[in-house]
This record gives sequence, C-alpha cells and structure tokens, in this order.
Amino acid sequence: MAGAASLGRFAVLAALVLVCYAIAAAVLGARVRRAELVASAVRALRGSAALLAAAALVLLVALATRDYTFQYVAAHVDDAQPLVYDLTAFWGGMEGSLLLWALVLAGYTLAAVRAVGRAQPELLPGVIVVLAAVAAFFLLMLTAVASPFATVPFAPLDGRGMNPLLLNPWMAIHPPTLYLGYVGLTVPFAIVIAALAAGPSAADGGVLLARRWMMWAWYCLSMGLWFGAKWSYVVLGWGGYWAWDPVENAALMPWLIATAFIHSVMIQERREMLTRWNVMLVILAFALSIFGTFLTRSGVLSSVHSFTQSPLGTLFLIFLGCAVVAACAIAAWRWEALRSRYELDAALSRESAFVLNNVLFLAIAFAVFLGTVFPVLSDVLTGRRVNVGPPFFDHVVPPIAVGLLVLMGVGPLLAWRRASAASLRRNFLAPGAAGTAVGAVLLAAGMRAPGPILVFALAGFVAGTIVLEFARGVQARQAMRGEPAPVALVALVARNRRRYGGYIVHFGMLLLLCGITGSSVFATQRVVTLAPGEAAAAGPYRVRYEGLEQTTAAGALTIGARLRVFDGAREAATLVAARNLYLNGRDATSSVALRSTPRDDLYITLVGWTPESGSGDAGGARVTLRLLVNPLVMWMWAGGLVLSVGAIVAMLPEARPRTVPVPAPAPALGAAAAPLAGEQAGQ
Amino acid sequence: MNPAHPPRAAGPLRARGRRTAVFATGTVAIVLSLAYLVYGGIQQGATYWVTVGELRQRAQALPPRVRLGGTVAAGTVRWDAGHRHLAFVITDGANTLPVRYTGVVPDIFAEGRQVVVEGGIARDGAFEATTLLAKCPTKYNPADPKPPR
Repeated sequence: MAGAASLGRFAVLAALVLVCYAIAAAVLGARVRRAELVASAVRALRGSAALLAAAALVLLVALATRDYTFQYVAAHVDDAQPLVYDLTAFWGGMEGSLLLWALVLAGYTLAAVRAVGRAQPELLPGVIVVLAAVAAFFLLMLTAVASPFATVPFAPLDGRGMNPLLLNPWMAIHPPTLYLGYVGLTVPFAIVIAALAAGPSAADGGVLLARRWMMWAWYCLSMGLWFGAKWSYVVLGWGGYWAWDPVENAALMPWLIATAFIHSVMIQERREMLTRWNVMLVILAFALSIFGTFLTRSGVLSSVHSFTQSPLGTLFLIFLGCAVVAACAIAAWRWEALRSRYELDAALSRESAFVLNNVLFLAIAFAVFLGTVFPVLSDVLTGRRVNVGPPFFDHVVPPIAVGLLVLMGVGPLLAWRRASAASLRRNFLAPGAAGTAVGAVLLAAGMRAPGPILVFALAGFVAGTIVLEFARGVQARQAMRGEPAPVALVALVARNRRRYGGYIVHFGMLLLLCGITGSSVFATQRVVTLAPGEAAAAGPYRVRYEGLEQTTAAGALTIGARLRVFDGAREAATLVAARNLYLNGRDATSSVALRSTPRDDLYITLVGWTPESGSGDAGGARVTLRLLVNPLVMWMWAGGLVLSVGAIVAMLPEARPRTVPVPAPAPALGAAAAPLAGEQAGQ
Repeated sequence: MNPAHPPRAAGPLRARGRRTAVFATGTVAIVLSLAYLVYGGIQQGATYWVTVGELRQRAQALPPRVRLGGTVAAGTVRWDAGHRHLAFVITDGANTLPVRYTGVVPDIFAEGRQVVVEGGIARDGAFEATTLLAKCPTKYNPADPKPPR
C-alpha cells in the first residue's frame, strides 16, 4: 500500500505549503490592507485542515487494516490486540502524536479564525500568522523528522503491538484530552500576540477575548490530568495516582499557569488592572505547553545517560526559544501601552487576594519546574547530575497549596477595592465556625497529625464560604421575586454562570484536596505471603486467600488469586488480583483487585506465587500479596467530576442579549467575545 | 458595573507609601519563604546520579544515598520464593554491581531494560536499593532498535 503512504506524505507536505502561503498572505494582507489577501489566507488554512484530515484518515485506515508496510503501524499494532486499540495507536507513538497535534491545531485554527473574525476582525491577520507558524513547525517535523508515513518494502508478518499497559480505556482518552488542552493554549497565545501587534488599544480586548479559549484549554488539561491519574492508579498497580514524574509535571505546569490566568483575568475585566501580567501568563502557558512536549518527547530527563536520541528534542527547544523571544519582544514593544490605569487601593481587598493567589500558583509552577529540570540544571551548573524526586515536591508544594486553600475561602468574602473590618466579621463568622467545628470533631475523633487537621478544617471553612455565597444569592432572589428556593437556586446559577460555576469548581477542588490529603497521609500498606485458606488483616479489612486460578485469553495467560474480603464480620467482596503474562514475550502487567468505598480503597496486587511442593495443582500455591488501604481516594475522582460540572456551567455561553453593539452582523458566538464587564453583577 | 475609579496617583501620599511598604514586605516574605521551602526540599530530596563505574571506583567519596542508572544484566534476575526480594546485577556495559531490592517491582522491569535504583552500598558491597524505577519503553519513546532483517 505504498500509494496510501505517498498520499499521506503528500497531504502533509501540501498542508505545509498551504500554511506557509497563509503566513505570507496574512502578513502582506495586513501590510497593504487588502481584505482579499487575508480571506485567501483563511481559505489556505481551511485547505490545510482538509489535507491533514485526509492524512489522518490514511493513517487510521492503515492502523485499522493492520497494514504492516507502514513502519508506524508495525511498531504499534499487532494481530492480537482489539480493533479499538488499533485506532488509539494513532497517538500511541511519537509520529502519530505529532500528527494528532497538527490536526487538533488545524481544527482550533478554523474555530479561532471564525470567532476572531466576528469579534475583533482587526486581529485576524495576526492570529493567522501565529497559528500558521506553529502549524508550520509541526508540519515540518512531520515531513522531515518524524513521518508517520514511512514504509518498508516487505511487511513483517505481525506487528510489535502496543505496550499492554497502554491498552486501557483511560489511556485511550487521556492523551487526546491532554492534547486538546496543550494545543488549546496556542489559541490564546495567538490572540494575545495578534492584539499586541495590532496596536496599543487592541491589547486589552485581546486578553479578554483569549480568556474563553484559555478556559477551554484549562478544562481539557484538567480532564487530561484526571484521566492520567486514574490510569496510573487503576492500571500501573503501584497504588498511587501521581508520582511527580517529569511527564506528569509537564502537564501540571501549564495547568497551574492557566489557572492563575483564569483568576487574574477577572481583575482585568473588572478593574482594568494586571494586563501586563495576563499577557505574560498567556505567553508562559504556551511556552510551557511546548516545553512539556519537549520533555515527553526528547528523553532529556527520562534517560540516564544520553541527552537526546532523536533530533526532535533539539528542534523543539529551538522552536521554543524562538517563540518565547519573539513573544517577549512584541510584549516589550507594547509594554507602556499595557500599563494599568488603576492600582491596588488596599492591601486587604479582593484584588490583592487575587494577586496573592496568582503569586502562589506561580510559586508552585516554579517549584515544579525547578524540581523537574533539577537533574539537567545541576549537571550544567556543577557537572554532577542530582535528582530531587518526590520528597522535594512533597516538601515544597503542600504548604503553598494550603495557602491557596486559605485564599479560596477568604477571596470571595473580601470586598472589591477595600474590605472593612465590620464586613469581615460578618462574612467570616459562619464559615469560620464551620471550619473550627470540623477541626474539633477530627481532634475529638482522635486525629493528631496537624497537617491533615489543618487541611480538613480549612476545607470546612471554604465549603462554608461557598454555601454562604449560594445561600445569600438564593435569599436575595427569594426576597426580590418570591421564588421558591430550588427555582431561585437554578435561576441564580443560570444567570451568573461564571461566578457560580467557579464556586462549583472550587468545591470540586476541595473534594480533590481532601482525597489527596487522606490518601497520601493515611495510606497503609503491607506485603504478606499466604497459603490457601489463610487470611491477613489490612486496616479495617481481613483478606482471605482462597486459591489460585489460571485463565487464557487473547494471547495472554492470567494468573489470579481469588480473595474474599471481610469488613469486620461482614463479607464485603470477592476479588481477584492477577498478573497477565503475554505469550509474545511482552512485559507482564497487573490487574489490581480494587474495592472502593467512600471511606477507603482496598487495593491489592499479586506480587508473586510459589506452587506448593509435591502437588501439581496450581490452586494450592502460596501467593505474595501487596495490600494497600488508601483512604478517601473516591473523593478525588468525585472532585474531578464536580470540577468538570462546574467548568461546563462556567463555560456555557451566557444566554442574554449583548450589551455592546458590534458593527458586523454576528449572531451567537459574538456574545462570547463581547466585553464582560457587567457579568459578575450583583455582588 | 464598574464603579468610577479614582484615577492613578490619587489619595494622600502617606497612604500610598504605607501601601507600597505593605506590598514590598509581602513580596519579600513570599520570596524568602519560597526560597526556604525549596532549600529544605532540596536537602530532603537530593540524590546524586552516578554510573556503575563511578560507584565502583570511588564509593567512599559519594554521599550515602545515590541514584544509580544502568541496565539489568541478562540472566542475573533472581527472586526469592515469595517474590518479595529481588536480586539482579546492574551494568553500564563495562562495570557490574549486584543489587538487592525489596518492594514493588514495576511491571516493565525485565532483563536488558534500563533501570534506575536509589539507595546505597551495603557492608557486603552490594547495592541496597529502596526505590526501583524501570524505563518505560513506549511512553518515552526512545529511538527504536532497527527491526531484525
């Protein structure tokens, strides 16, 4: 099927030519003020998107038909794996990931061109140039360095297949979700750079237009991180969900910056302050998304000796350097125009709480960055490779996160501009009491560790502030319109989606933080060796080993230990903890025996087994099990769901008439980009 | 709904000065606490990265806890009966060192794989590892070996 591969290669090459044309046409069109040229650049982008879709289709067909003449297919597919994972192998390797990246960027580009053309047409040429330039880089990589369409003349009989650890539903959706987030950071970057280039007056509006896109990218990153944690927990069998691995940190850093931006942009909307800061955050978030790809794809940190195995890493670093230098140069050029007209009125105000919140998010991002690149940094500075690992992150990040937790409760209760002592007393009384009560109950229940007590008490306080905010809003509506409470609640959220969606996200974060605290501080584990019929205690559970069983399916031999779990005297569950051994010589994988309850997770992995001497019956073998009790993990997953709901509520377009007339006839999407000054009314 | 803001530089000069002082103090406090946290974290978490050769040659000169990278030598992986204790030989191609480890072994651990172990040299000269990390071949996507002809 050399023809299909040629078609794929040609499509990528043609897409590259088209985006280069788009850059030239947009630059020229902006120079000579010819709208036709800009319009032709848009058409070129549409063409390149169609070509990329065709290229993706070629690869998908090759994967689905297991066409092993494609090197990429032979490397990531085999005859034994289910068809759905043949398709997810699209992003199972580097070349396919790059193609996915380019494809997602093409889709975003079309959407961004449409939205920007309606909201702020003067930014269109700049947005086209930036997005097309980023696309050109990825297409160049796909053409010259890492083509997914490389073929061999004689196809191998079977492919090498994917790592079995990746054959999992969570892993199937984790990479594309994360990519939607990563690539999504390019759009706010393009809008802000275009606004800076367009003129001193456009910058402010550009940052506000970028907000919505940043929100979407933030949402995708959140979900991607969440899916990744779930995969790590359910599949990898080590009992945790986060290892401070460079690849994980690479996704966490842009998420932190995006979170900071989502908060600080509110100050810009309401008070026209912090524009410079927001511009830098958008640039930083984009830079970190490219840096993250560099980290995951270059092997600079994962490998022990060699610096890079493929030229891709170096090229990414060069691209990153050029992008950051160019962006900072443009920002510096407009620096004076970005000056805020106002400044902070008082140290104790909503604004200063937001500023502090941003500083803390940046502090965490900085610490994560430092810890991630420490091996390389120390190598360059001292000639000695020094690793700081999880102990470093566990030491640095929690105190800052507690600071953010405090702000999450305090911020919404502080008045804009200047908070008065009387209003503070009135606002803090009930939530403060809630927090104190939580702390007192935990102390009375026998908890002595100061860290978790502090976190849970603060969570109680923050939950109190959120409930208070909802209650006040509902009461106000009831008083004004006489609506019954449930109606008032729904109407309240529907009318102020961003504000109350934000509170729902905060509530999700509370659950998440409680789950993380509970599972990282109070987790227990033990390793036991049991003969059939013997039992071992793990936390509140007793686990009895019944016997070993063997099953074969789809090229794998599964050895499973049948377990009966007792919670006190009550039989709670029958579980199987298993190891999967693959007949084609691939690495063995674990199937975790997992029982989740709101209180805790019982998490059992089969470490090994020894047949009873003298008996040929495998059922009588002794097994070694690792028993973990991880408290409150379920609340983490629940927190992710709540966060997702809150983010969707906050992102839904506001269903109310536009307040600012836009000259061009622009239905629907135009409202999204209109200045949102009055949105948080009624506080 | 923006209230009418006072323009820049309004308000008595003394209040501005006090505000600036508050923010400056806050900034210094935050930077110092972050530096303190990072310093403490590095003290706790820092482990030197060494090769097998370095560790063999000058084990005394290195800190007690190091991070050792190398390849699992073929045919050297030994488990005890319960699959709890693992022993293998790590090599950098020229030098070798026996490694002992008790704990969770990653699924992708295998002979010929690159691994990173953390720990120190025990009395008997073997490396006593407390952490074992195996390099995932697919996730990081190193250069693929040439397909056999």
